[in-house]
Amino acid sequence: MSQHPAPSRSVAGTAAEKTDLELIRAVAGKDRHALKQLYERYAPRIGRYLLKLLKQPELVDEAVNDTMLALWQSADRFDPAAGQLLTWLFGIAHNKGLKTLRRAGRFRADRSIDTLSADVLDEAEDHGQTPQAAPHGPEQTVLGWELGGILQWALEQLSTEHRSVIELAFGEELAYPQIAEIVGCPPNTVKTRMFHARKKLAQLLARRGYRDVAAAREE
Amino acid sequence: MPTTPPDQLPPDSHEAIAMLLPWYANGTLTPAETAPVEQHLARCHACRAELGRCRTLVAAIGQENQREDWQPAPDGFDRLLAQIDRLEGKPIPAVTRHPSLLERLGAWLGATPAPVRWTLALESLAVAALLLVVALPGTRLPSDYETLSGVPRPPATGPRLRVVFADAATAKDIQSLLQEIDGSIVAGPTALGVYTVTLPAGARSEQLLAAALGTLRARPHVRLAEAFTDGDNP
Repeated sequence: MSQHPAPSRSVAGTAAEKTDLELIRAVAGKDRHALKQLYERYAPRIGRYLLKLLKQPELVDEAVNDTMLALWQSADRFDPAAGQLLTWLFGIAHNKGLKTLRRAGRFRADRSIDTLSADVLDEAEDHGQTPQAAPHGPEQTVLGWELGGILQWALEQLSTEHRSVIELAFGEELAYPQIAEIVGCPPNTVKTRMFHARKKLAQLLARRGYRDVAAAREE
Repeated sequence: MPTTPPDQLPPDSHEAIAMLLPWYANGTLTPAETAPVEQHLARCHACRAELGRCRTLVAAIGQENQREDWQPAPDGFDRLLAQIDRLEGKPIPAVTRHPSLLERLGAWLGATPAPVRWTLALESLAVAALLLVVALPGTRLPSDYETLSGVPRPPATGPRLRVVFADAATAKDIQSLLQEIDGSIVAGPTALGVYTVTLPAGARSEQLLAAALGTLRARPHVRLAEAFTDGDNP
């Protein structure tokens, strides 16, 4: 994973922390110093999300820069009444991420969670793409490194649209209306995607001996 | 699986509440949504179990994110600014048209006080006369030594980079970096401090270029390191 050292150059004149709105307005006036402050504030978080979405660390830098470039070019179109800057930026980042995936030939939006069959999963396992779980009991719920590795593997098996909903809700702790705005679908679709994503995640984890972690109940 | 679409469910139904549990677990529901969820949880064992699973996921993914933090590259913002300059059509340092020698001389003389200007003009005339004497056929002195500038240099046909060093970088730092990438400065610094560096020509020039860029970008003494693209002029 990308582990760049933290930027060492500081921003001059940041004695008073400016609000997002003040900064985005300054960026709309082509203030590069304000752009740098927003970059330092949001690039790490956007990069973390894109890392999960893209699964290829070498693509993240470019996608983050594309996002911040779009911010620079369209800052005057940001409407604070329509939502938070964070949501707006994540929406740009999500679209840039999907574009990057398309360019990299890895976009799998056509493979919805319901079409990710057990055969495909078995095939992945046959090809050694499955991390080996520690010998847990079948009902065991364990947090920590072992589950972390298995969970990461399981998340990577999900389609992009389902993985993004899981990451935005549980990783970035965003509300479902925000997620709807970011991924560009109705709020109820977000809830439905979450339901299916958790269901598939639970199936994947159960195969590795972890139960009761992600299951969404069948009604 | 729910058989009724979520947008047609009554807001306090079991299914509608269950759909909200991931966001109750991450603490982002509004107070108006939270109240019916809590009332339902108090009497629904299945939803309490479901909430436990959601909370496990919040904790597990949160731990995972802490382990795999992401930070931008040290020169990430500088590269963004370079991208902005290119898009906005601002002249980027390496392709800026350099004024001719005569133009630069004229500008410099223009900024020089008149007495100094005349002294310099006379000195220049004397130097020109001396050069004429030395360069005329039959007047060349026999040379049995070789100057450093006379050492033949290999043709600079290898890949080229544009590099901006940090203000704090010393000559020794720059020399050490150049030795590390086996590069030579062939132009610069421009008014904006941009150097043109060339790498040795060879069959593996692309790998050499990638390795040199990686090395330079990882150093705090380097603010910007970019390869020349086809349209660039050194």
